[in-house]
Amino acid sequence: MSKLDATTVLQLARLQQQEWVDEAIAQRIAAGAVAAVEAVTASLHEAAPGLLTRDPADLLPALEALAGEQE
Amino acid sequence: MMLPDWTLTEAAAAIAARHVSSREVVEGCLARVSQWQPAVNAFVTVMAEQALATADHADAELATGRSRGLLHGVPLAHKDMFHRAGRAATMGSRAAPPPSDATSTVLARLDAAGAIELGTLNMCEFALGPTGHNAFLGDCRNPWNTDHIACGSSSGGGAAVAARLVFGSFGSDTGGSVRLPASVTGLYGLKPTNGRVTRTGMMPLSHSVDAPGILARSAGDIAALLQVTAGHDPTDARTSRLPVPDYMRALESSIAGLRVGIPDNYFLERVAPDVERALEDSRRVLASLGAQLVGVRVPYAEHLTELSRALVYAEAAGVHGPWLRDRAADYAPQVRVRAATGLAIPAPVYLQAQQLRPVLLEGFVREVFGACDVLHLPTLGIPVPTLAETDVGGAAAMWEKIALLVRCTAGFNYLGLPALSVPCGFTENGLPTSFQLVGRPFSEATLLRVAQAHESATDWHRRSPVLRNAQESAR
Repeated sequence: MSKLDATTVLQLARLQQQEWVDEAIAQRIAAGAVAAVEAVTASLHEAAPGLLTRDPADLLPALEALAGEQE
Repeated sequence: MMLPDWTLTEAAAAIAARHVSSREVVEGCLARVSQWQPAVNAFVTVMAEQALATADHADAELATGRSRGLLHGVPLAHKDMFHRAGRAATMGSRAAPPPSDATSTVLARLDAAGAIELGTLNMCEFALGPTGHNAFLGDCRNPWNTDHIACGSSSGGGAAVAARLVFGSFGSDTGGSVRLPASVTGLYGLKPTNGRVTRTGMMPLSHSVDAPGILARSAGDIAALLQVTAGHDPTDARTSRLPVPDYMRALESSIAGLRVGIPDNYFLERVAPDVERALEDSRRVLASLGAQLVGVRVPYAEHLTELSRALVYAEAAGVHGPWLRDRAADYAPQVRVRAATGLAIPAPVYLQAQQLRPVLLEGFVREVFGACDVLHLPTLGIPVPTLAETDVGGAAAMWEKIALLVRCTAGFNYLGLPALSVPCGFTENGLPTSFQLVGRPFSEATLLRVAQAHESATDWHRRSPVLRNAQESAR
């Protein structure tokens, strides 16, 4: 059984007024969402100490700070 | 060499020297479009009259000694998701969005450099897919073998540039959507560092992950197109203010002593033997040019694709939520599901995926680019699949095959790093394959330097597909 079942996805879809989502679609949504959520959760274990200080919009400053010498 | 076989930089030089007129070049491309379009379905619209009128104007300017820049009089065409004032981009959809009221900055910068827009190009519906299928516009086909996919989502760009219908194309790359079409059609495909090229006026799929990208037939062509479009845009807060290097000059430098990293983990697993042979040949070429091959462990590799999906799913659901609610039937079934998966991504998970980006980026750069200057890995580890193998309702292995398409590309969208697909041969099915170069942030010049060195020692970029027969053309 999926860690996120189709019934829960259907409830989330209804909450967001997405009435077109049926059980078959909900199962596919669940499979995709579970894989993504698990990857985030697994990565948190590797990087948790840095997380509390990071703004979600920090990517561009980080990219610029890590740029090598311009050719 | 026939005119359409010129690279962009060769065509631009010939036009600038008035060895050929822009009108002649545009007419040559239009003739190719007439021959190839029925077979590959690369174009959504062809703007022949407008392109010829612009070409005449470009020729008149040159006759008076005025050149607009690097792309003066050169015909290009782009994925139909870059807005131009007064025109409605289809975005690959039947949803029929209204005409735009402003021109995208990328198109405006190409205009300013003298480029001519020949038309708009096919793409996956709302850029949501890696195969090139499109239930509304019709599937785009691979010019090397029209039974095979052109990949996506910038499918028309790959098909049009490879078939020599135009000299270059802009697409978007959110998970490999420029690099994959380039790989399967024998082209160069660049996903720049996020923030290097503006997104203003480009249809959003995923605001924080999207990057405009370039498809072209040589490293020099990519350099020219990047040169005129890179740089800060005050209308895009996520563009960098870092100076734009001279990409054309960077091509001239040697790669002797450059450390080319070969991944010890993940990326060379699940690679088909004929793709691996081409990769090995390309590594040998780079070594023969003085590059130093070094083994590198790539951190987080097994999670990067799904981390990217956490962002893309959530942001795509945000973009498409209202339309899905009101007109879900306007979406193809598989596209609808991709657009809706974010409905089930919890907000804290989305935010954590964003917070993790700079942390993982710093770890990745420290570990990988402490050991090498560029990473060398596959773009696509399998031979190019057929349309049937990857179509909706295909065999049970369909989803597995589709997942393999982005296995080596999507992670670098998450990290925001520059990545360049470089043609390096053909697999046993007769279709092109490639290697991918990934560098530290804003190192596009280094990637282009390596690609140029490889190009100078090989002739893969000079190979072009042949239109097989009239039956194929009439399909």
